[in-house]
This record gives sequence, C-alpha cells and structure tokens, in this order.
Amino acid sequence: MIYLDHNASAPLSQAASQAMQKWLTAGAHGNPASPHGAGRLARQAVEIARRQLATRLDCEAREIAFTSGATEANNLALWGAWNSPERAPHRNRIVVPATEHPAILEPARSLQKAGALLTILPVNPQGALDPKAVSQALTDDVFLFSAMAVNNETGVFHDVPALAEAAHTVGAWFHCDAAQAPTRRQLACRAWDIDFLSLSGHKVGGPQGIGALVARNSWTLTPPIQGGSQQAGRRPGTEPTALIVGMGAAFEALPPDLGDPSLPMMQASQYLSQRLKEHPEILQNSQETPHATGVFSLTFPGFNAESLVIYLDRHQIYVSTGSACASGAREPSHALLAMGLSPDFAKSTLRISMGLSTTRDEAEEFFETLLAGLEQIASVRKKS
Amino acid sequence: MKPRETIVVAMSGGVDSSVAAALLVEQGFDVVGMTMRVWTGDSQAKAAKSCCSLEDVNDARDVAAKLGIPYYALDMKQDFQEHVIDNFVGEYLAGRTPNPCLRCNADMKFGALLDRAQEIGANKVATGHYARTYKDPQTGRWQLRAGLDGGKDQSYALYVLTQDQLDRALFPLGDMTKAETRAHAERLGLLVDKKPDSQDICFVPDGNYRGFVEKLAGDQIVPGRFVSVDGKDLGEHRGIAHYTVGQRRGLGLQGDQRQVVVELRPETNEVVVGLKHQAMRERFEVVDLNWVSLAPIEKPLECQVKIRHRAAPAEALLTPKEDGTLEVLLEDSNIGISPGQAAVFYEDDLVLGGGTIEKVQAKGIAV
Repeated sequence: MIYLDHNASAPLSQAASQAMQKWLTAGAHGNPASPHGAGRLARQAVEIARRQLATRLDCEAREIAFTSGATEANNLALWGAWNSPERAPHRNRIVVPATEHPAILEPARSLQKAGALLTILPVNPQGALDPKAVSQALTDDVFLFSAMAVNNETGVFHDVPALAEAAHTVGAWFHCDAAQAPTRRQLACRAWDIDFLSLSGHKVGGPQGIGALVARNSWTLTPPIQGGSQQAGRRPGTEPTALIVGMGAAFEALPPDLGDPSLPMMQASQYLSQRLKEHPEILQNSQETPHATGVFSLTFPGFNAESLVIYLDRHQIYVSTGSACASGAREPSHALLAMGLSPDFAKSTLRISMGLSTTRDEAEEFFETLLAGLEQIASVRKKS
Repeated sequence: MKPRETIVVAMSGGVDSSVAAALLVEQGFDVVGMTMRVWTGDSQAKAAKSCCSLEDVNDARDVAAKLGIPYYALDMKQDFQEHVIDNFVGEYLAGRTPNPCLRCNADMKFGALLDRAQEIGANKVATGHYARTYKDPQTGRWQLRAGLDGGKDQSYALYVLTQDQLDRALFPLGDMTKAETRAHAERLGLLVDKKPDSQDICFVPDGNYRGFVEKLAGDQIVPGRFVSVDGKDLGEHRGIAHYTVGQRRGLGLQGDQRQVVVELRPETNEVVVGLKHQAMRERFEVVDLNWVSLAPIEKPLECQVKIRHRAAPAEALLTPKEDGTLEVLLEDSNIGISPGQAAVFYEDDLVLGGGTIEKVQAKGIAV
C-alpha cells in the first residue's frame, strides 16, 4: 500500500500510538475534571499534552482549548469572535480568501446570514493573495481576518505573519486555520502575533476526532457548543484523555527541522518533481508561489481525475482529487475554481500529498503506475 | 494459475444487483461494484425513492463490503445529462414519448460505464436485469431472450444493445425467478430484500415526468390548439409535452369526457382528440432499428411486438422497407401506440430486435 493522501488523513505516528495505549485500557478512564485520584491522573496527562502543543507552537498552554477537530476549532474561532463581548459593534465584517476550507467558508456564510458582512478575497492563478488587495479589503469595520497557513488542496503557503500584521493594523483579529501546517512549515503563534489558530490531530499523526484552538490573550470566546465549564469555559464537554494524549505525542514527535534533507519525503518530493519535468503535459498547479514540499496538485487535461484515483486504488496506491466525497456526484473544487481553473480542469486534477516518511521508491512506483494508468485510460477513450 | 476475470457489477443498492454481484463472487470472478451517480437532484430528500440516491449508494457500499469487493460511486452526471436527460426532454418537446431507460442501457450502463470498467481492466459489465443472453455457436450471433421470470422480464429495454455490447454484458439473474433472487438474498444475509422494486424513471422519483420537463424546459413548451379528428378547434392545450397518445385524463376539455388523445402533431403544435375507437391504430413505422437475435430481415416476418414495456405481446407482420425502416401491421388494432416509444419484436421469448415508433397511420391508410 502506497499512501499519498496525508492531507486527507495521516497514519497514526508510533509516538502517538504508544502514548495512547495506556489510556485505551480499563482503569484509565478517569474524567480529567474529577477531583479524585482517577481524575487527577487523567488531568495530568491532558495538561502534559497541552504543554507539548504549546512548546511546538510558541504559545502558552493556557491558551489552548482542545476540540473535536479543526472544523470545530474553526467554528469556535469564527462564532466565538462574532459573539465575543470584546467585539466592537461597528466591527461586523469578516474577510476570508476564496481558497479557504469549507470549515471556514461555511461558518463565514452562516455569519453572513446572522448579520455579518462577508468579504471573500480572490486569489491569483497560483492561489496566492495580493498584498494590495488584502490591505484594501481590511477596512476598519473588520472584526476578523481568517487565512490558512497551508492550503489543503494545493499546499500553498500564505504569508501568515504579514497577514496577521495587516489585520492588526486596522484593529482586526487574525485567525489562522493551521490544520495542514504542522508537518509542512514551522508555526509561531507569539512571534507571528496570531490571535486564533486552528489545529487538527489526525493531519499530523495524531488520532482522528481531536483538534485544538489556540486563543491568545484572555478575552471570552462564546462557544457554539454549550454545556459544562470545562477548559475555562472555552469548550464544554469531557476532555477525551486518550485522544488528547495522542495529539500531544504527535506534536512532540514532529522533527525539529521540517526542511531536514535527510527526511525521506525530501527525496521522494525531489524525485517526483524531476519526473514531472519530463512530462510537461501534466500541469502542476501553484509552482510559482511558496508551497509545501510533498504536496502536488496535478492537472491532467482530458482525463477524469476520478478514473485516475480508481486506477491507482486498484494498485493499492492512494491519492485524492482534493474533494473527499466517496459518494460520487462531486462538485469541482472551489479552491481550484478560485484559482481560475476551468471546471473541466478542476475535475482533471489530482492531489498527491506525501508524508514525512514517504520514500523515493514509493514516489517512483506511484509515478510509473500513474503513467500506465494514463495509457490504459487513453486507449479506452480511443476505442469508444 | 490464470488470473481471475474482472467484472464490474452495476449496483443500485437494490436486491437484484446485489444478488447478481454475490453470485458472480461465488462463481470466482474478480468483482468490482460500481454505482453511477447520475442525478444529484435533491440530495437531501430523505424520502428519495429514486434509484441511485445517496441512501442507495450507502446500501450498495454495505453490500460490497459484506461481499468483500471494492466499490466505487462514480460521478457520471455529465454523461447522464448528455445521453439521457437531454434526449428525454427533447423528445417530449418534439411531441414524442421517450423511454429513457433505453438510452441509459445503450449509452450509460453498456456505454460510459463499460468504458469506466475497461479503464480498470474489466471487459464486462453485469447487471441485475432479468434477461438471458446466449451466443449461437453456429452463427456467432448473440441472442437475447426474455428472463425466465415472465413477470419480471426486462428484455424489452435491452433490445438496444449491439452485438458488441451483448458480448460484454452479463445477466446473472436471467435464469431465475424473483422468488429465487430473494431466496439468495436471504441466504447471503443481504438485507436489501425488503426494498420494493423501483418502478419509476430513476431521475423522476415522484413520477411527474411532465413536471420534470416543465422545470428544465418550461420556456420551450408552447400552448397550442386541441382539434377534433375532423378538424374542429376544441380549445387550447398546455403544450404538446404534456400529452401522450391514448391519454384520457388531464386534458381539461369541455364536452365528452371519454375523449382521448388520438395524435400529437408537433409540426402544427396541435393535439388531436377523439373517441376511443377513433384512436385505435394498427399500422406504424419503426426507425432506428437494432436487430439482435436475428440478422436484419429482408422479407416480411410474422412475430409478436410489444409497443410499450408493460404491453402484452401482440401478433404483427413486419415488412422491411428499402430505406431501412420497417412497417408494422398489428393483427388487432391498439390504442396508445406512441411515437418515441420502442417497438420490440419477439418470437415467443426470443428478442428479435426493435426500433423506435415513428409514424402511426390512421386506420385503413398505408404508410
């Protein structure tokens, strides 16, 4: 099995798996909020994990609230900011790039229905933002500017520190959806002066079902989910010890230098880039803007990307079209459309997302199989 | 050891295609399940009785998982739009009554889906149709026969298949009765057997075909005149797409309520109405012929013909014309011979071939 869909979900890291074992057995079930011994054990594990994240992200442990995932963290940030008593009433506009994940765009649209004003920023054909357009859009009625650190479909990097600064210049808060980021680029909440940061556990080698929101400074976030007062009232609900422990361990296990050339993914990525140079008929998106090593958005004009995914699947090679819909009848990717790809080109686009341990041999087998698939599919078209 | 042959099964989530897949797995084939997602329509509709809805995809996926076979739900909206929907709407606008299942069989199931199957090295598509195929060893010709279960026979809509398509088709249920299929489903623990068989056109779940055409092409439906058989103007009709030959209900006419639609005249946008005996016809022309079990005929032939999927076979005389069309003369006149519907010719349970009904002649007048 060659797994090249890390942006959809990443394998559970060894570190996370080992750390979680203890918490998946009977006797390790304490509720972290309970005052007794069982609760205290769980509480300690949760706080260790919180610190593991904080260390990696250049923020304070107390600024972190665990959630059910990045989607919830995004909703918590956007709705929390909108409903915050700290938001000045005249600040009723939210600004987001067109290429954000649906977990940002959907709550943004709901905010619009709830009375907020919404500005969607266009991107250029590379998927990048124009700094001039950004500062023009950041008027003084903006309460929140949200921009992701690493795009899930193309791997594009936004200039997060610059965007945070631009937001602050007009007195707006800055939120960064960093679900895809921790294995792709360094993040520094304090150094970059980010107000809110969303995180995902399973994109970085932690378990599915867990994420976090970093909320710097001590204003009140009114959570969309209501209930008990866990996590300083930021996010009600019993903290899932096992999942939190896994996420913490996954963060701690991330290599200190994500650009370390000895990481297998570096060679794998270099190899694939080299092979792609020999095939100009395969279009590579977002090449001319900073983007993640190991994430390839490839357009195959005239080919149905779904057919390619299926062909590769038949050879136990797993990639995606960037739109995780296993029930068919999918819409073309909004992010690719925002970059100016035609709907046909969008439906001809594959996303290959390597992980840090993807090897050069895997990249080679993938590419050879892909070429064979293109030939097979083309021959069927010729016959019909 | 020879590698197993890969077969794609078109799975709708219903009991027939599920059992078809299961039987092929038991026979040792490398089975891959696929569902064509063809019409998003109202994807949130909980009561979606339409075939291949999200619920059906989930059912098909569950069956595939139970059988241990791979499963894919394919996005084939565009193909379906081009081959089936556009044709469906166009036919109604042109005053004909289409049967979209014919286009789906020819262009989707054994067309676009067959292509997708070949992309992964499968040379055949299997379905849960109740029909039988057999390759005559002497003539090398593929024959198509009604399914063993006469009440479930679906050979009518398969007359469109070419020899090449029949060569690539598999119908594992052809020799079975519906009761046997359900028994297999029970034996295999496939719980889909409590679903009723889908009767309607898959993309029009509420059966309101006219409403569907109206929604898609309402601006092209132009009101016209009702006329009597002897040319008297009887008032305005809502647009030719709203009527079919033999129709009695929903005409909105004053006067004799026994009147039926006798003929649709798209050239003048008229709908001719009359009494039932004035609508009886016995002679019509068939075009776009596809000969299946027989090679194209050169001399007149007596056989049975079905003028609708649900029609009983009627004795008829087929006369081939020089221009490649066919004249059909029924032994007994019939009401409701609709241009656009298929006329399928049988010799008992053997499907000889078929074509599209075009010109229906008034009694006593030769084509």
